[in-house]
Amino acid sequence: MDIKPRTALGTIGGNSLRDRHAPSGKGGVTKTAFAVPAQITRVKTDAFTTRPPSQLTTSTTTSALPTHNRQPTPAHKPTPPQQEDEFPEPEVMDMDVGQIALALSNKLVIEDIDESDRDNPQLCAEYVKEIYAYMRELEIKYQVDPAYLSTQSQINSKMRAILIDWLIQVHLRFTLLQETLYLTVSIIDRYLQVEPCDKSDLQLVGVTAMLIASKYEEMYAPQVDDFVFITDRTYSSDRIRSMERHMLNALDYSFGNPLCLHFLRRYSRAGNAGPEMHTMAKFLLELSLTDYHCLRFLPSQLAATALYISCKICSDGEWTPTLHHYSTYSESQLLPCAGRLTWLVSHMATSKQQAVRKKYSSSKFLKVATNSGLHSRPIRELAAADSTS
Amino acid sequence: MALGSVIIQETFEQSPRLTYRTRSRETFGSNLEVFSEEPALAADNGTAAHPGNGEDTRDRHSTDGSSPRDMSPLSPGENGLTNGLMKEGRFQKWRRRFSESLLRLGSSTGRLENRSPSRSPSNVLSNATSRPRSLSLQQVDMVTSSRQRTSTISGPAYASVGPSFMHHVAVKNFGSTGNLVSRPPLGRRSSLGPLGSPFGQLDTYKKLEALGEGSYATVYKGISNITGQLVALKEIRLNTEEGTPFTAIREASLLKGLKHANIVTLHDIIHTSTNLTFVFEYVDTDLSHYMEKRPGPLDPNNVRLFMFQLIRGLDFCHRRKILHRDLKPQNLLISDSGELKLADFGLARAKSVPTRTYSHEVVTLWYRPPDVLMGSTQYSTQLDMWGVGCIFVEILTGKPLFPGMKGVYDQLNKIWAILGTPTEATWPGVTKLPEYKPYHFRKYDTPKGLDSISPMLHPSTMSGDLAAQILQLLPAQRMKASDALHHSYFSCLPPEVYSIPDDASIFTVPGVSITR
Repeated sequence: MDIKPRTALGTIGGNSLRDRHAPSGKGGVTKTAFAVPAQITRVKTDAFTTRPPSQLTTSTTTSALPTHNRQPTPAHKPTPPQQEDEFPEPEVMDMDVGQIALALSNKLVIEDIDESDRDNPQLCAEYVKEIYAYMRELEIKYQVDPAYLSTQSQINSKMRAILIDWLIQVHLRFTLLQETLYLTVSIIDRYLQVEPCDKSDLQLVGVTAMLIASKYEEMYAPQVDDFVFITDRTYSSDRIRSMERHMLNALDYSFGNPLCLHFLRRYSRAGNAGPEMHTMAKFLLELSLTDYHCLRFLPSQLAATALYISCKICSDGEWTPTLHHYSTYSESQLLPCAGRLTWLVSHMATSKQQAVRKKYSSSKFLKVATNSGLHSRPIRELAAADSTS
Repeated sequence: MALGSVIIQETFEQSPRLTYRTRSRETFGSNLEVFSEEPALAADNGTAAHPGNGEDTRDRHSTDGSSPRDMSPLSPGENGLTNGLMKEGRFQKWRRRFSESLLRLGSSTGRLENRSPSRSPSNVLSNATSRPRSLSLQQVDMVTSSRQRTSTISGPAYASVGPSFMHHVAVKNFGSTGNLVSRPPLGRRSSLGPLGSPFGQLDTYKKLEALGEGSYATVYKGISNITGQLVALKEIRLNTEEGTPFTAIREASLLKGLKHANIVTLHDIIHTSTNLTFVFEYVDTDLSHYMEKRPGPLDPNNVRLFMFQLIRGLDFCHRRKILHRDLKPQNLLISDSGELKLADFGLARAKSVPTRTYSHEVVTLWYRPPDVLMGSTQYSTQLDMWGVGCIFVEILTGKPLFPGMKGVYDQLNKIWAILGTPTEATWPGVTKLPEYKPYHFRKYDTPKGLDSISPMLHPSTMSGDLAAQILQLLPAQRMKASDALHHSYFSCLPPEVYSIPDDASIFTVPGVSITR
């Protein structure tokens, strides 16, 4: 067989890591690194052995590194794990995580979070990197103007919030997929950006958006009559069908835009997030749906921020180089968005929109909305920095 | 419609309370809390049914929220979803909530309250003038009757009714009557081409003979009245109840994101209330017809070119997280110059990573991989690759590889005969698959192997190696499109075929041509 082996991360980082640790079995080191945060830092230090000295000298962060690790010799032997554990970890942790990842950019050996998926064809490890790069292009292409409501004479951000809050309840009641909800909101925003809408038709836009999103995402979409019913017969099925046609045209039949949920799944994996952390991030993302000010953030940015805050609440809160690498966002890049999301958290008790909070207070969602960590000091500090409102 | 209806607006401006609070009794069933509220000021919505319109007027009126609701119960058993919802009395409350919160908002912001003490519709008209349109006579007729009805409801004096107002009413009624021609707002379709307005209109294209009938559409040959260009018109059957079929939404959405030389181009979409037509580029034939005309094995050079283009197009899809899920010769279009284009994305699906399960009833049996045949829904890009392998062997030898005739197990046994019956040892987890029924399987301990079909498939040949790597029983071992593209079987093609832009045909590379 004469096929070039491919790794999702490209050949540079992944191969060097594998080659050097070949005795420990295919992907063995990567897997262990994936499991325990302390071991991630070990992989991080490995990175320096693969870099040419010239690049090292330009890095401002390398001074904190153990010196013996800076000499890239071809004869470098795989270090047994026991020895690596003796590395003075505080030194590594002292470094600015963002700086490391930036300085090392493509040469850095970030843990390959797809390595363990090589044998699971469903996760398309082969394509995953390219797909996410493509999704990052798409999200910019589909981003709505964060001030688009100024073109609407009858709709304001409060109405948008009410509509979405209500749709979140409808979504829950119809037991639809998560994607459907995010796609619904995205369809509403994209539609309202291009077409004027009467206040009295806003709910029609909302349910029709959900109908379209369901048809796109669900295996079994609710029927038009279900949406007639849900609006208390405010709109006839004919009007919904006609609006569907109108919205499909207005949005040029394009519904493949990436959603923050797609990114969150990826980042949760990179952050090795447990169910609680992931659910917490989903809660934060849903909170952001009703907030018009969150439209200025890209889905990937919202996803990364939600996980960032979730990390702070559910674990040690470290934004690891791996997370930086896979999300491409550094901690400082996330702060504006984090300010907004935490502001929403700090005001959720008094907000008029309670659907998300109620939904995530149930045990099905691990009661993350009642987590006391949401009101902890780091979160309050982040919220205080929000400049939006 | 986004162009709000005058009726709604009018009523609202007269009395917002009336607009949002009106409810009536609804008798859904004994297990449902009966919800009753004071009927509104506008006590009667009963007006003459719209001429030529079978739709109950109550429905149309209810759109403005000002009239009493339809009293008729939802027919029980119509769908499970609604019935499930009906069981919850609580449901009523939040069903109401949206309108009520909007009401609160409306009265608090004041921004939208523009009530004129004179009860004149001037506000309406001023709002409406922003979108001037022309109306046909028929529309005006209808508008008139609508207007009368409007008057009956809310009783405003229409001192003057401008054409823009009429338009609003027309637009509002468009959905329920279905006898108007949809005119997309100007400029909206500009992305489809430089011509703008001719797009999206059925009369831009003349329908010629039928080309074929698919699962949810009929395809006609057509010609553009403007450019004289041949097109393929895919007329999608519209389900009158459920609106636009989900297959059409998915196909259009996916194709919009797939601009590639080996994927059929979607030029235009025409969508009226009675008709949904996709306008595709016209491609002369498909691989199935192409093979019918040339019985026996295809020219090996052509096989290579077809395969390269097929895998190239598929690789492009997979890189954009799209699975075709319905690969078969009928869905591979072949132009006179030998260009191959993937078509029929009606079953295609955008795939997020990681994924959830999809329905496993997707691929035509002959091209369906064994894991999916055994009920696995855990499939991904490997699903499409199996089809690629089957098509490869079929065009190489001139015969379908696994032409199962009698259902799933016959299909599986055809595969086992060539590749061996899997066991837990050769395929870990196979016995856990939902449709793993060993008593239906014939036991092939010494499989015949692909080379039993044709010497061209002997493992020592490049074509045999490629086929063997793609036609792996285990999905995880099946070759990926990106790898297959670089298989040595294609090494005799000029290296430029790998560097041309996505939208360039491989026949733009010097030295690449079809054998006639």
